[in-house]
Amino acid sequence: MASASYRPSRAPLVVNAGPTIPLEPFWAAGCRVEVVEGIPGGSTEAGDRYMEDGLEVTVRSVFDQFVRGTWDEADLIVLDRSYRDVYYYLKELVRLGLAPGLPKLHLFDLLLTRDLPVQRYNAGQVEMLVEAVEYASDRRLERAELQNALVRSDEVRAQYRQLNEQRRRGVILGSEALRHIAVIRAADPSYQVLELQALNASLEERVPVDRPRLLLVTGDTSDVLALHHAAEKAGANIVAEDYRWGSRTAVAAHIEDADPVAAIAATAHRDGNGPELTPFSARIRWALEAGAEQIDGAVLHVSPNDRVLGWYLPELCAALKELGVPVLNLVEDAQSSESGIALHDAIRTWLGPAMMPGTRLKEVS
Amino acid sequence: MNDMKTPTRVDKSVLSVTTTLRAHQREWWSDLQQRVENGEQFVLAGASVPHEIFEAMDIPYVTDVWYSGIVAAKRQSGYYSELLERKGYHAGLDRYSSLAYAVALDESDTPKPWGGLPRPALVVTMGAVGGSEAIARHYGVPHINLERPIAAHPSVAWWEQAHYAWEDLEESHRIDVLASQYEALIETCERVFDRKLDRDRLRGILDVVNEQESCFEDVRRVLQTAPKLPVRLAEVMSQVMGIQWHRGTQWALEQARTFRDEVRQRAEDELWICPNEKLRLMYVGRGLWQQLEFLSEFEESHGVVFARSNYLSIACDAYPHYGMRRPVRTLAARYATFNDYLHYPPWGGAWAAWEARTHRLDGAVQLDSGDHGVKFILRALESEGIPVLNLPTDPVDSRAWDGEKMRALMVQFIETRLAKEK
Repeated sequence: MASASYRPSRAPLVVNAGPTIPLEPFWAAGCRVEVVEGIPGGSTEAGDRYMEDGLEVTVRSVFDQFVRGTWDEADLIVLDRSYRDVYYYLKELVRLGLAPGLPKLHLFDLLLTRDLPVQRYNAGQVEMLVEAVEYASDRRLERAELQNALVRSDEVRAQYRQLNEQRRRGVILGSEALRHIAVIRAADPSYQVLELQALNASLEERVPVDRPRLLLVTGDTSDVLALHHAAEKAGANIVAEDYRWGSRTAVAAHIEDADPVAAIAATAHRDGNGPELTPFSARIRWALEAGAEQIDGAVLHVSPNDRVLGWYLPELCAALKELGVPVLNLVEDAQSSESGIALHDAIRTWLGPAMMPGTRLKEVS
Repeated sequence: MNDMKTPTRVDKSVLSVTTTLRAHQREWWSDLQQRVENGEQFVLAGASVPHEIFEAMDIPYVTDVWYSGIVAAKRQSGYYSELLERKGYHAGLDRYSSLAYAVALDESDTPKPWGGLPRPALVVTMGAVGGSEAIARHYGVPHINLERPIAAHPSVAWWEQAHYAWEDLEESHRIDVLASQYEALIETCERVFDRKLDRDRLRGILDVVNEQESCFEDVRRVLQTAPKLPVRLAEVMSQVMGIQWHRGTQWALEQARTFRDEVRQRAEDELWICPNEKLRLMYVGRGLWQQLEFLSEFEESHGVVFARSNYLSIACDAYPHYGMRRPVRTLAARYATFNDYLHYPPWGGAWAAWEARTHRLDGAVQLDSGDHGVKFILRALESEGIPVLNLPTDPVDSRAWDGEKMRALMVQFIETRLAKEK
């Protein structure tokens, strides 16, 4: 899902993949920014020559796009540690002379552990990211420019928090909200604020949709939209999902620090999510908070290629049930058309014919 | 449960150290269980964790994959894999380091491998693999998950720098962040076990580890240079890992010396495990711990021997680190990349190709377990003229084992691809 460009084409293009990469340095440098994600149901044939089939679909799809040359026009590719496979594999292709058109690669290695001392290392990672952006944009970034980007970014965050509230009210379908976010998410903050203000204002006028409100946790972000569609087809609406470019856009303002680099590092660490986040309690805190209010049920999904989330699901499932949130566990390939039918059937069966909107679901199984 | 019948096995051991290792393991395990019963506490640790810190603090520890290996060797992995599924952990999740958790979850009367795993006081892992965090939750004990920083600027021939030039190889900021995590681990150990780390003792233990690994290097040199193979790979793998899990102890050092001496002596006496040796293979990736004897099944019929595995070679190349001014940093340097050297590009392929040359190999076999980087390793080997067979099975889950099919694949590989290359 590529977002709209808003800068003149001569502005440097930075392409990034990974849920922990802060976009503020790119905005401060006036770069065009593209977020690369897995293409649901897309072919991974080019990448599969080098990458193992057992890896997550998202990882394979992102790798495939780089191998195909989809992003060769970029000035800089930034990957975070959740895409370490893609980083190592691309570096190797470059070394072997098999990817001559690939732009400069940069690894942003933010450590997310909540229990161990990693602040200094993370600040160093942000410094190196700023240097990479300076190289790509051929200019020095002043601290004041970074500070300004943080202020503008906080305005965007406030708008996303409002959008989340509207989603909780049930005035917009989850898939529609995700489409809006996908279009503007990497654009300049000023542009995003204008777009989100207009969207939020229009949502104020809408009447809430009379559907059960669901929380979604899935192991592979490529599956998010397919699961939204399945839930909507079954008569429900996913109003929150554990996904950076969904509900996770609605994060708090930046942590204050006189040094913008330290502020970016601390905030990225606080907001970090995805498969690298440990320990378990930090991983599921968001889901438990999201599940505590205004939610009728939770869908917990893992694809057959999942290697991480499955270890947490039994515990998450038990914790949600303790909160009184009914849970549907799905282990399905959300990408195939057959699974699409199976998923919405499973959700519909779980919802049950006697389900009343606005009340907790009765658990079927 | 049909895989829980005691299997019939032919013991092809040729080394006396195999007997002493088995005896020591049983004695050590029984002693540990007794100590825990008497109130002493222990650490359950991942494989890529600095065990030397526990050793220096006199804290008993058990390695999770070692215990998984025991479960697999007892042919109980199928039973415990199914148990994990019944508890809600789907079939695609890695079993290699998780069988200890499955054993902990088993409330039935089924006899547990080696009497079962006692309750640890602390779980320490690197990279939150498998059920490590789940087992800590299950027992209600602290869990420390160390996070390895990623090497952004990989150096291809890592093994040339690892022993002495590790500061350049691993980069100071990466070593520093791992060392600071180790310091936090030390603080936790001091709190949980109520004892202090003696850094001079840690330094001494690391010296012992270096000496032990140099014995392994001597063994590797014999396997590389002797006219034929003097010892089976399964025996080497068991010996190396049995010693590695106790590295830094005087027992481990003495065992490694005896192991080295026995292998040398067999080579000097020209005692070959397959006098009709025609083809030498390497074994890439994780060990086939559930079927180690499979590796020797083609000696008589085809003159095929397995001469190389990751286990001995990683002991030789990645473990020794010299320069002990700040021993915690030295340890951190060892683990800063470590596992990634085994399989990620550019390291895994370059290392495998170098090993294939130095061991005079004709082919390679690897478990098609979906390990990251495998395709690049195969590419590197095949570009050296080393054909590779993928065995579609799991290292420990016996449900994935189909002996007839595996034998047929091996025979076809030997008779078509290897014979052709030869």
